[in-house]
Amino acid sequence: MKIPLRLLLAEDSETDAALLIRELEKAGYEVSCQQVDTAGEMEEALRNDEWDLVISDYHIPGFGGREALRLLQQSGLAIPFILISGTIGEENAVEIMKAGAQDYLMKGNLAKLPAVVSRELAEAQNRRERKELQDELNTLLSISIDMIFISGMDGYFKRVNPAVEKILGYTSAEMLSRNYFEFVHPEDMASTLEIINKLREGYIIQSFVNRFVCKNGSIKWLEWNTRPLGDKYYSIVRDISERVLAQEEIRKANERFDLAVQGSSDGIWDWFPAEDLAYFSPRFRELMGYPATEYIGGMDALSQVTHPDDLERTVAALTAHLEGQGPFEVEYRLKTVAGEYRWFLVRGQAIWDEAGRPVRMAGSLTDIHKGKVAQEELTRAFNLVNEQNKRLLNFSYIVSHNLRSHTSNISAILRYIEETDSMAEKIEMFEKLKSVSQYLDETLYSLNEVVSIQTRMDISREMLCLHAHVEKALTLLCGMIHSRGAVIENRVDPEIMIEYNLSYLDSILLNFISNALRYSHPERRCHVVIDCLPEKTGWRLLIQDNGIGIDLDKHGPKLFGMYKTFHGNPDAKGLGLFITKNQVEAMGGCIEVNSRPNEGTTFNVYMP
Amino acid sequence: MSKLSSLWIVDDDKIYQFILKKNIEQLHITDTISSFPHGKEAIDTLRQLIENQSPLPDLILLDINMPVMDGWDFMEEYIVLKKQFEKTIPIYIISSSIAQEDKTKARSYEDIVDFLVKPVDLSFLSLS
Repeated sequence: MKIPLRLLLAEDSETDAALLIRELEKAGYEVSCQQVDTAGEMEEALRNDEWDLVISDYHIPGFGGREALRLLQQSGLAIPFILISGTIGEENAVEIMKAGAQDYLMKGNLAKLPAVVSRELAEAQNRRERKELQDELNTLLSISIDMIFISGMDGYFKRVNPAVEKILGYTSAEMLSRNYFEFVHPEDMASTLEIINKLREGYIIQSFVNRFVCKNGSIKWLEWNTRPLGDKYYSIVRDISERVLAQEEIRKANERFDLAVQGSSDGIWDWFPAEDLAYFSPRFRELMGYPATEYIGGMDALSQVTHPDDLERTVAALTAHLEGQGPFEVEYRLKTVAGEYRWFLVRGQAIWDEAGRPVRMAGSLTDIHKGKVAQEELTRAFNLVNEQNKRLLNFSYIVSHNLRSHTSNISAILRYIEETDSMAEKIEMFEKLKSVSQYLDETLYSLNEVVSIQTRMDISREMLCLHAHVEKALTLLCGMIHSRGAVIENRVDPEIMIEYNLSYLDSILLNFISNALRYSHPERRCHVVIDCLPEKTGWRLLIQDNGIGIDLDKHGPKLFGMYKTFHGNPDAKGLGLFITKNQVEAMGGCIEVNSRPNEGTTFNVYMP
Repeated sequence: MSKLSSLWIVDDDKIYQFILKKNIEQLHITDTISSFPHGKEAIDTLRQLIENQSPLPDLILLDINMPVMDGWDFMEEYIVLKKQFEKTIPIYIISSSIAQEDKTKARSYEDIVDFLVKPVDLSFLSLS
């Protein structure tokens, strides 16, 4: 097969040119040749066409081999140049070879030409390939974002790519002129040395991390992938400073969070509403009494142990927060594993996705039980004291009022006794004095009774059959019942036993029943019903009559005050209801009254 | 002072009624003294007198704590009734109460001339 050869031939002799081409064709080249014999022609040919080879005669009038070589070199083309000459001195030959010609031949020795051409073409091909490799390598080195180091075993870098200067700030020359340990952060010296030793032993190093000190003094975290080859180490090195710092930030943030969670007396919760999954911190579990590891569930698990009285407002507050209305901060009771309801302050904050759906909510749980209970206790105590004070004040007014009316009477009567001369009048006055004394006695007795209820702290209780005690009261009142022809129904279930103070119970029953009899309606037979119904806690005693009733709008607020009577009944001293109320309250209950004038009255006595 | 023709005592304390009467008789300031055991009887009588166009009392001594209708309820009814007559009847509260709220309440009625605490000396009535 013919080898194509594009030949540029600088030659003034047609005969020599033909001889030369024939020689090449004989050797198997298919020669396409352009012959030039002036500098202008040569320049034009180099500019316009591609050539595999330039052959030039040494002697050309007005031109010549030296000039041809210069033009080729000037063009920058890497094409082999062979000089041919009829006569050429040794000196000239050496000189032109030095100038860059690949070879020279004598015209009488053209038979050697094909071998020379073959060799030179192969070498030219080699040179082109090497250059291409070099270019590729240079390009890769220059465009790499990662740093590339080629280091020698002598402790010096041999080659670094441009990325090195960008990242570390040192020029290539600076990098190559200093021992590479000079760049290593002092704290990483030992580990780096260890790696170098491994490389010496032939190990490939992957993802080794150390720090380099940059030209500006800052520190860079570098990740090395290094492979030893021959007497060199080839490294691709990535700047991972940002990643390391970001990780450090995350680690610190996590550590901060962990410390806060551990150090806080609050429990922490973290909830994913979509799946109702929640994380509860150890302290949270401790507060609620949950085991350290057992799965608890989501918020639903918490709502199941929320105090029923608090559930509605808690759910409302959570819903409002999840809908983006205001903060979530609620005080409510949760049942701990021990079965005790404790007060907690629960705070939280949700985050939402673009569609406005809550995706996550986290917050704290603070035990406020002690404070809450103390506060409630305080409020209770305050109300109690307040109530007690009011009663005391009221009581002192009553004492003053009642004693004053009697003593002023006594002093007035005594004055008249002194002033009058009539014996009959004196005797009349003494009679008055007697009745005042009797009233005073009664008053003091009643006041005593009130005081004893108010001051007795430990009232004894026993189990009493309510039905039996109603019967007892009815027996005591039988005279009054008989004289009025009253009908009394004791509907109390004989099974009902209540824990109460015996004398209070008798006094309460006696008072209400006698009241009902006393204020019976003149135009109809007195009918009283006594019953007892169960309540949420304890019992409700009912005493219902069809008597004259009480105008509650008018007298309601004063009904249980001392010395209030509302009917012109001569028996009414106005103390009965007051004492009864005190007794009922002393037992922890209360009294409710329903009444309409001319229809009747119902008293409800609550007995816990 | 010209002698009163009629003076009312409204008080449930029988002894006190008796004593007041004695006291007033000694002062010779009135021709008749009427006693009522509580406010309701007094108001009913007053209403009756107005209907019959009979002479009304010239002065009322009123207790506060009474059964059936106390002094304050009496005053409420009185204010309604007095629109039917022109006479100004001075009313004195006579009570054993030393509670400040009773005194303050008494001041809110223009018909109440004074609030007196038992025992009272009515001799000032003969001077005025």
